[in-house]
Amino acid sequence: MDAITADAAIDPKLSEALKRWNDYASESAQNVQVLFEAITPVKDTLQIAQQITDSLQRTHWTPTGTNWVNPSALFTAYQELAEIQLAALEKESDCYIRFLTTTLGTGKQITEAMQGASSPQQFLASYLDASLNIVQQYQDDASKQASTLSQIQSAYSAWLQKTLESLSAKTSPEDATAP
Amino acid sequence: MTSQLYVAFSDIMVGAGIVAGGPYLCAKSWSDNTLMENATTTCMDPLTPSVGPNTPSLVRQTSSLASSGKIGTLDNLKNDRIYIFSGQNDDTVTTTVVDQTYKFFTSVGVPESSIKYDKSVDAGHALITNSNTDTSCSLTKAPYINDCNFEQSAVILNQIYSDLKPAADQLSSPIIAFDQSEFIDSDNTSMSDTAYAYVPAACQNGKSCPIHVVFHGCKQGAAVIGDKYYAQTGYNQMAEANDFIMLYPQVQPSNASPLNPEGCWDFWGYSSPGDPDPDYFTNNAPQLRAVHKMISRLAGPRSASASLTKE
Repeated sequence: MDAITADAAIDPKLSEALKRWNDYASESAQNVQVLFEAITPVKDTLQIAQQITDSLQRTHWTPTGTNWVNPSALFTAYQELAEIQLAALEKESDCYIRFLTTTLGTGKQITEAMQGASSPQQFLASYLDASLNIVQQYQDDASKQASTLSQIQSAYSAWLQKTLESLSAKTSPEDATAP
Repeated sequence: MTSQLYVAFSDIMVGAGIVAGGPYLCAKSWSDNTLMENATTTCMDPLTPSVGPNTPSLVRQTSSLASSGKIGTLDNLKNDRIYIFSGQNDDTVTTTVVDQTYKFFTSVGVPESSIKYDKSVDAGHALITNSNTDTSCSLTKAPYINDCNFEQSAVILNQIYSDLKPAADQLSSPIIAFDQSEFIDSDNTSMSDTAYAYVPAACQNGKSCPIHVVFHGCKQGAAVIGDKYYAQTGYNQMAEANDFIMLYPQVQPSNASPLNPEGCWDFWGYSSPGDPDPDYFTNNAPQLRAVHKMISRLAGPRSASASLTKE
């Protein structure tokens, strides 16, 4: 028996779903390119080294000239550190809740998407659409998580610099004689 | 970018309007972070106020630049008038950051009475208009032009110049599209080939008119949103009524060399890729040089002022 081939008609919904996936793949490839362009470890290291050198020269900072026991500066530093840690915990918690919400919703999204499909191609189209939505939600969640981590790291770096500067600030005569 | 142009060329400026923008040199706040890290965290949405823009350090750095002649002298700012805005619902560039813009200018000698800092509006991250075809006030959504029932362009100009006439209903001239590449002498500015200007008929006929430079925000250049920013935000109508020249320089998104995927003006050094110590903030910075050349070409007027919508 010969196999009879014929041009199979593709359901417009399936065609549309495949196009969405294709567009998403192109966009992801572009995003990966942008990400690679943004990673410049040598330049970043040189940049930070230059900035620290400039900052030390501007403030005439020396380790021996730093008053490591400066009660008011230490108190402020601890207070700010506690605020940063609380804010970081809150942000991390938000990210966790976001991921959890996305995960808990995946089953329902796919089930709802499959309802009303009346042919194998439409089932496939609905599944592709729903799964792409889920992938994009996870991607948004991951992006938000990366942004949060960057925010937290930046905050700790800033806190450290601020604390070192405040400890090395020259004390006023009033401070020196305070009980 | 408004702060950068305004501070670098303060000798020809009479004021500025800064909407949802951080202080001058903000990306140089904390040495242990790269410029990009500071730009995208410290200068937009810092984790806590204590690790936001490091204004005392920025003021010291600015003074040093002024002393070495790399920017205008800070005395130029003392008689100017400034408008600053932060939306209460802006989570992109938070009020914590914009508070430091206010603090920066008062620290360099601008009297508080010369600054109008409005943070009373429940707006998202956007330029504000009075058009019900624009985005709802409290949202943060492309094209970042929101209807909050007042025309911010008019408010900015009135703060800088005072007692201006209300916006005109009709324009006397078409908006001019010109070749921006003529003014660009550097390879990585991310600036578009075309920029725009509005020159009212009176200014074209020989009247000496002030120039107002309007910087669009990220994702608001003509390459992204067409004429929405340079033609539909009310600046041209104010220009028509009050004989100003409006200049709309343009940048566009770029995914590689320079890396500027959002089409922002350079506030962290992308216009000098590969340079660990980029100049994006002095009177020799690539984008600032280009804009200054455009101003000089349009010059003839007695004064110039700068306005930015957002960064």
